Amino acid sequence: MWSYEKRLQYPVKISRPDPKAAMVILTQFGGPDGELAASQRYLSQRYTMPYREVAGLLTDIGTEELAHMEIICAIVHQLTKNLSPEDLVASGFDKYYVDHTLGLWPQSAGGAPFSATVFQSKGDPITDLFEDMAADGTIV
Amino acid sequence: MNEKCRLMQVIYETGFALDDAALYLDTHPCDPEAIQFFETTRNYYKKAVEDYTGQFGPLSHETARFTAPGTDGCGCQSGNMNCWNWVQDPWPWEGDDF
Repeated sequence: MWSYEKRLQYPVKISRPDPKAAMVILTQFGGPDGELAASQRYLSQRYTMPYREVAGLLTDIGTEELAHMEIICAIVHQLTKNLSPEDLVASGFDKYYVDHTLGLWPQSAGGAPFSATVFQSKGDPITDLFEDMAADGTIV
Repeated sequence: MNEKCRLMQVIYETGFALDDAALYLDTHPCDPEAIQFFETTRNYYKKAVEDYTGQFGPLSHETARFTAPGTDGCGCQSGNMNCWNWVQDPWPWEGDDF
């Protein structure tokens, strides 16, 4: 069970739209190392984690990744406000726009749709933790 | 910085500290210093949330209020019961508030 808190984990207030930057940042939502993958990685792996402390950690980190996903989406949303047709074409955001307009859709910067193949959940604690370290660098 | 922003800043800062402290406590559940830090920070967080939601609107369903029709942007008819104020304030991703 999750409850929604009506605030971002870290505030986002962007004054100048920049669709070109949005196109790149979008990958942190639905790309191979994005927050959607991160959240599903931890939240899927926790069920078979035999150590209570680590199962707790996977739950809490996975939850925090959902909050990161919201921050990234807020950034992309605010970077793509008030765009003219000329802005869309000049920035290269037109290729995303034709499919999704300004809707948030999880994909990589290169346009590949989000895929669960970018993470693993093997039911083995050592394998899963190594996967987490590979994915999240030195954070875990 | 007005009072609304000031309180939300306290919520951001203490909320962030609590997120990190909880991760540490998951694997160090007996660390007295961390426990003390968590308890102290949680008190500041709870007080700021209480003050914020009392004056500026809900941050959770738990703190949502029922306000008089016609106030806070509520479109309910005046003959109606009080209305649900959860959806009236800006959403956090809009970036307008802070």
